[in-house]
Amino acid sequence: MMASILMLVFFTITATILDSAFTNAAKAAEEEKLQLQILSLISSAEQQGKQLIIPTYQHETRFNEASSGLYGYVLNRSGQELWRSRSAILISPVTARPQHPGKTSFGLDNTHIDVELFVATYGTVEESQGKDYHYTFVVMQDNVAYKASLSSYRSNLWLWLSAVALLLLGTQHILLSRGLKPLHNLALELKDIENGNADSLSGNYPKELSRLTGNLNRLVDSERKQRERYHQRLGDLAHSLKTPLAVISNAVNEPDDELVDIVKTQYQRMNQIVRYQLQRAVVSQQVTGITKVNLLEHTLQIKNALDKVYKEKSVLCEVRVKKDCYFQGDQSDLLEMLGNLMDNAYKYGAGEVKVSAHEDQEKLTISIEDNGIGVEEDQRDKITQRGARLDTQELGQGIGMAVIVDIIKSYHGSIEISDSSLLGAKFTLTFIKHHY
Amino acid sequence: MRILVIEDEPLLLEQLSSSLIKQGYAVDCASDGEEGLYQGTEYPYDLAIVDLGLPKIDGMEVIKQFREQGKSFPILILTARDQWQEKVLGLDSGADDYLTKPFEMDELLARVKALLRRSVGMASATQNFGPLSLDLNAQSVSLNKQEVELTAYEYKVIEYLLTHPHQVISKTILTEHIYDQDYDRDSNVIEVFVRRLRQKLDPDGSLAPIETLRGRGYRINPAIANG
Repeated sequence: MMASILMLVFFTITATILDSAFTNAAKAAEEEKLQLQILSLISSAEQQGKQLIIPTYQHETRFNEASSGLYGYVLNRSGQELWRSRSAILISPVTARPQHPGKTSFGLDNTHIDVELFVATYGTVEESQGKDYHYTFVVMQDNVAYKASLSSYRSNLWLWLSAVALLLLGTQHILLSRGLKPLHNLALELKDIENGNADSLSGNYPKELSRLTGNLNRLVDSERKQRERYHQRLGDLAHSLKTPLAVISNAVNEPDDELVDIVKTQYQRMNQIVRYQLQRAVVSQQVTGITKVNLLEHTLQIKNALDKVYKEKSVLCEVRVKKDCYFQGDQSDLLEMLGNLMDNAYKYGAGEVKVSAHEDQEKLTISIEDNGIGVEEDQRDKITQRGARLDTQELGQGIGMAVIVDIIKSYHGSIEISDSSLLGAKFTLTFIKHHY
Repeated sequence: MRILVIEDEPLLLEQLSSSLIKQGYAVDCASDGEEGLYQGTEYPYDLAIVDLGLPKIDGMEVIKQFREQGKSFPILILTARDQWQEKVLGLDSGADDYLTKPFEMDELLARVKALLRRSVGMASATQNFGPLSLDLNAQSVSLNKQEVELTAYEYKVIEYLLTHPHQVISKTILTEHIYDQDYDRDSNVIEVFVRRLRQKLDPDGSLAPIETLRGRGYRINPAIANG
């Protein structure tokens, strides 16, 4: 719509400019023609003594025919008419004023009824017997031809411009409706998705839009997955809270000291459940790999925090991470993994912790070691598989490991527990690069 | 020891303050960041417990401002968020330890004791001063391994003096650290406490554990101050 209005404005301006250019050019041509006629009159005139002699019949035949449309006059210095061509016999007197020698003028005389006349004048001096005689030659021509040509030009101009404008508007309309059709379809399909009638956008879109539709599909997909996850989490949460609630409700009739124990135990259990589910809700599920997080910087951040908390234990924490080592993912995920593992190492180690990392083209490996009592071999798998199901969690286990396992999974990474050269446990996290 | 608690949940604030008071601490409460910041700036505290999610001024900002003012008392953060990012930010801003809600009151009291002990440079909860021995956990003082019976305020006075062994402590400072701000103070009472402490800790007058520096205050006798 806007484009159409702009186009109309543009065409109107163009037409106005062309019209005025043509009018000016036509007037200039008229002026030039009349000046030529004046020159021919001058050349036919001859000064004899005091008299200026002009042949009655001129070379230009229109001067000779009555009311031919071309009229010639000669005025003396005071403006009195000395001569007029035969064509001007029936025309009222000339309105032009005498002109100084060498000067010209051109204008339109509209004092006549029914007809407008172009008037050109030219002032001359003729010399005879040492005396100067001033004359003004006047040529008038009706503007009938001029008007005809102008109106023909105008009608042509408007005709063609309108044709071109119509053509352009039509083309624009066709192109726009064709070009916007996919967007229109897209809006309809999105409406369908919103109403639950469709799962994703169809693939029938032009190449220019396929990126957009691809992204939209991914967004819609991740939104749906997120929603499903929320549902599942909520269900998980509600179900897992039911057991401790049932235990408490059954314990109402127990003796007081046992009731206290039961409530305490079940409170701990419920607390753990809530914390675990909260953590899982916070863990970013969108693994984009777009953000890069500096590993050394964040390792040192955790180290400083833990040094404060375990100040009395005076833990010696060695960080062997290169400056340009990056984890591709979410900063809070990295902090969560490092925080939990390093916290365990500070807590269960005997004062020595080592964090190291290795990065190559294919993968990033992060190891956290301590000099504690280590992890029994038969416990290792159990720990690394924890977090898959909440029900398998035993009371009293920290939720940290479960969260770590969840995060690592979301990055398609792996975790391995082995013996450290520090004689304690060594947790190794591996992230394959093309996976995330 | 005087503790500032900044927590916006009234019930938790009440629980915290009554538990701490039961432990013999002087406790001042604030229920938003602005009030907490004002109190922490105005009064001398030995420790602050700060909830991170506070109205008016955020807990993190309160801690930052305390540290910018040069306040060095230990700060324990309470947070409902169990994320490391939060913990790291809190500790970075100047806190010394954190506790995630919900927590067991015993755990909180243990952390408070540890932080207080650390802040006065004691490596363990018990420390000897000649024949005297201070046990921060049991909140008791023994003379030649025999526990001396003290009232709550007598203990507060001797605890403060023994945890600041090489300093001259004025009566004003003592008053400020053993009473909360609502208490109607009378520094003459301090003299009474000190006199009774001298009687109880040094019955035969041979030890002279508390010196009086006229016009300045009290000091633990340098002869026993180093253990």
